[in-house]
Amino acid sequence: MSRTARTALFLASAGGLGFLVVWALTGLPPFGHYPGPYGDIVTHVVQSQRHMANAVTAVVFDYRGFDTMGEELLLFAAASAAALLLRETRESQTSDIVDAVRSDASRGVGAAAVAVVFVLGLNVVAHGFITPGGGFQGGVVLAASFALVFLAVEYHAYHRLVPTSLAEPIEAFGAGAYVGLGLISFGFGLAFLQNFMELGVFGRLSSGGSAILVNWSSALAVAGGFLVLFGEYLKEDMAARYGRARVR
Amino acid sequence: MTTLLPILVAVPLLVAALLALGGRWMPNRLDDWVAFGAAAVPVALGAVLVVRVGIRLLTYWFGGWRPRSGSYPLGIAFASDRIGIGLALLVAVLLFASLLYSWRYVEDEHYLYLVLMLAFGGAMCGFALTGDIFNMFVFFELMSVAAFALTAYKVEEPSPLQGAFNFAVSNTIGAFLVLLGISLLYGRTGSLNLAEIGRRLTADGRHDGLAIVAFTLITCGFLVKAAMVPFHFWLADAHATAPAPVCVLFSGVMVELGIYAVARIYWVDFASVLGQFANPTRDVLLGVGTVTAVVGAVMCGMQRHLKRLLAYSTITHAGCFLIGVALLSPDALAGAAVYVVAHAFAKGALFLAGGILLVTKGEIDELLLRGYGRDLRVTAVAWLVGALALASPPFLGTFTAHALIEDAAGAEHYWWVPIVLAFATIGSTSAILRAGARVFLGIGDAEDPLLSDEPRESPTPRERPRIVFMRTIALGLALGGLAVGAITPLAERAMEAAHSFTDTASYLAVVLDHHGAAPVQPEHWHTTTSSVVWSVVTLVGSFVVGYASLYRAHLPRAVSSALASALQPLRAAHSGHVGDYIAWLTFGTAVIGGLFAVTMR
Amino acid sequence: MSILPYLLCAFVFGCGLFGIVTSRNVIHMVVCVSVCQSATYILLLAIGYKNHGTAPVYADIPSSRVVTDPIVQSLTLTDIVVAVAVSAVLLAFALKAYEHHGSLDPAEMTGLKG
Repeated sequence: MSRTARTALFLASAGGLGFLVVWALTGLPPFGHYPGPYGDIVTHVVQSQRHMANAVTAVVFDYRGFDTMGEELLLFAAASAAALLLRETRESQTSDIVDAVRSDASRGVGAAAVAVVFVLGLNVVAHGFITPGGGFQGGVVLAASFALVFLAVEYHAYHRLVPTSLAEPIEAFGAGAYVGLGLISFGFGLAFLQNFMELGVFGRLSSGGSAILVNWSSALAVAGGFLVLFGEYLKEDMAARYGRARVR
Repeated sequence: MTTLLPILVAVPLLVAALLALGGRWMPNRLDDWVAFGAAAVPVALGAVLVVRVGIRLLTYWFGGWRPRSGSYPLGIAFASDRIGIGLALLVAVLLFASLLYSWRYVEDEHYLYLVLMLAFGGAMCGFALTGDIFNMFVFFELMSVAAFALTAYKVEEPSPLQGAFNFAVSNTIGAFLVLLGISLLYGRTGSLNLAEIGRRLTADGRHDGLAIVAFTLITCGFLVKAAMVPFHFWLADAHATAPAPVCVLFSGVMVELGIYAVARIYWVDFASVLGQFANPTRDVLLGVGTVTAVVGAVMCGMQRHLKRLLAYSTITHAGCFLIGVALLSPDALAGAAVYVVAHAFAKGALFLAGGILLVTKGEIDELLLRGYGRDLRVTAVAWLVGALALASPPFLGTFTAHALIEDAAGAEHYWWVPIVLAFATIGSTSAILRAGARVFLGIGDAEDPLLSDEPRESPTPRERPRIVFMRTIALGLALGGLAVGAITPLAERAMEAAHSFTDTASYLAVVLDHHGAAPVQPEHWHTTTSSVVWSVVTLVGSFVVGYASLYRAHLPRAVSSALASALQPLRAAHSGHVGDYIAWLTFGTAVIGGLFAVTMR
Repeated sequence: MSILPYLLCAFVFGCGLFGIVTSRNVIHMVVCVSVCQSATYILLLAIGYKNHGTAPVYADIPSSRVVTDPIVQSLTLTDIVVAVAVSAVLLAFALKAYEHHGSLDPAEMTGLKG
């Protein structure tokens, strides 16, 4: 179809579909009047049932932990997919590329910032059940701290620190540990992914029970996944830029 | 026994993660053995469960969040009946067969291929077993992402990327439609558990814009995965370029899971609140299924790329599955279920045979392969048996399935359904037989004016593999497909399972109130004369039309050019451009939604 | 205008779809897919909002305080991960397609047709 025909077909259809969707949206409860009951019940019981302050993290890792398991595996599958698709460019082709930031000031501040961001990431993960945060958010910050190595220092340092051969096992370990924790619950005679540890004191770092382990494994999986993705794309880019890409 | 359900899903997923962890350093064939083991576990568990579940609905609450009777379900549940477990078993069997077949078929970074196959299989099993709508969405996305990657496996070629890209964009938009529908349902019912949503929708009772459009969005989103017209364009592109063992899973179960999802969500959530509109629902969905079956059959006859031909055949049969589900009757649903099983085995065998042709001859084009398949005798037999199973011969293959759907259609006075099924079957099977005759027997013209051009697909170059293993698996699958029609108890168990599948009240009672499942009358299979007649018609018709289409070059020029120009718009619509596909997707959703809106207000 | 946030979702989704249909660049198309995904976040979060509600984190607020729905927030979190995964895979396809065709125009990548 020509671009005009396609656009015309789309606009006509989108008009009709838009009308239907707006009609449906009028049936929703008015904005600001969420009627529940799922959210209301959870916020009501989360402190007493789970000793967790952060209801969102409680839902993500405890009440609906099985969904999160699926999603960890999704990120893991995507990172494996990227590694599979970009496998032609071998790491050996790019391992000697330096691509450094020249300014000493940038490098110095950047290197210091890496440490700060890394600790911040750990903090976000650890406090997941008390304050906004958790495995996902913290995992992304952790991955970003390593990306900062490339941005502020040099590619060679990044490549030496976190090659795919290191990031991939970290991510696989995180994803596998999540499933493994579910199976460990079986060992205690409980249901899959059921809490098997002391729930701890509300508001303290120890609150949450075995969801804490789930939280950390998810942080590993997310950080590893992002590092694999980042590393693979970076490798492609470096290979293309420095002429190491395979001649077609 | 219900604890086997999470294990069935967890094992392939865990082993996928372990293979990714250690696959780089594992000795040569160890990763294959580990993968086989991981694939064998769901086969074993599925087989045990499908026999022992009977007509019950097994529920498993994750995290221990089993609600007390009448209280609110806070956690995620698996709610698996015989049809769900049967689908999971089918996934597991096809996964195992594909992994065996690809023992020597795919080479570089082999462990990543195994990781993605296991993740794909595990996700599909989870999708078939779950009773939570957002969990369905998560597994849907997981199986989709794994599928996208597997389609683009042969990344050295340009076509796999295009096929995978079209596949990915289409299915992702479909998933968004599902998610919008889920959000609308959540806005009304405040729940994500399928049974709880059903209960609350019924209690609310409104069949207003929200309910109708939520049904439309969720249905259309899943019908994208099920490759219904006009959402089907991605399937031929994806199949043409994915490796053959991956195509086995795509055509055998992935597409079928879309139809399963539509049936499940309709019966649990919408059957009560939209139950008074059963006739419009039936008519609209029958229309979609019929158009799909007809378009698929016509396009099938115009293909020379064997995997693309088989892909259009899948679209045709998927249209027939939807016809079975759309009749909204338990017997027709049973017919669709048996059809899925027979089709999965037969189509799997055909794809594997095509894969053998590709690795031994280096070609997958029907005209270029003319006569070159003469030495592949076992493969030829597998191809023939697979085609026969799809042709619905008397008492074999898809016979029981067609009979169930035809009888149910007759009971509802849809007299034209058997005609559509026959057209679809003859159209697609004749093309398969034609291709087989040309390749394996060398008969037929060397040219054909109605066949479209296709880009070449080359196998990953290496020494000629030993195909004894591969052809045995292909033949085994084909014979299995043929046998499905002969196993009458399979049809009877399917009929009973379909009765409990369509029993909404029982599903809600089991999941939410922990009652036992309602008893179901045992069913007995009766062969009717009309089903035998139709069966003979499709069998004979497939051979006659197939033979005739070998000699299309002999058609008078005026006739063939008239035919070609009549079919040109249809062929041009399949342009390979993903923008076109999304435009058609929007069009289809708007039309289906509009029809529902007009008839259900 | 208590329906405005919901309409915003429909509008953003429509923009994303329009972008995909009329796109001449596969990278642009991938970003449009993300835009469609953002529309789903908007709808989810808008459904869960409560007037005068604050974040459902009880570390420093009394239990009686009105909080927004944590369920939709966790669904959005999952959805974001889905978006990342899909975008990553799609961008890998786009990258490889560029290497093969030398072009990012989907109209040039129509080897598969009919």
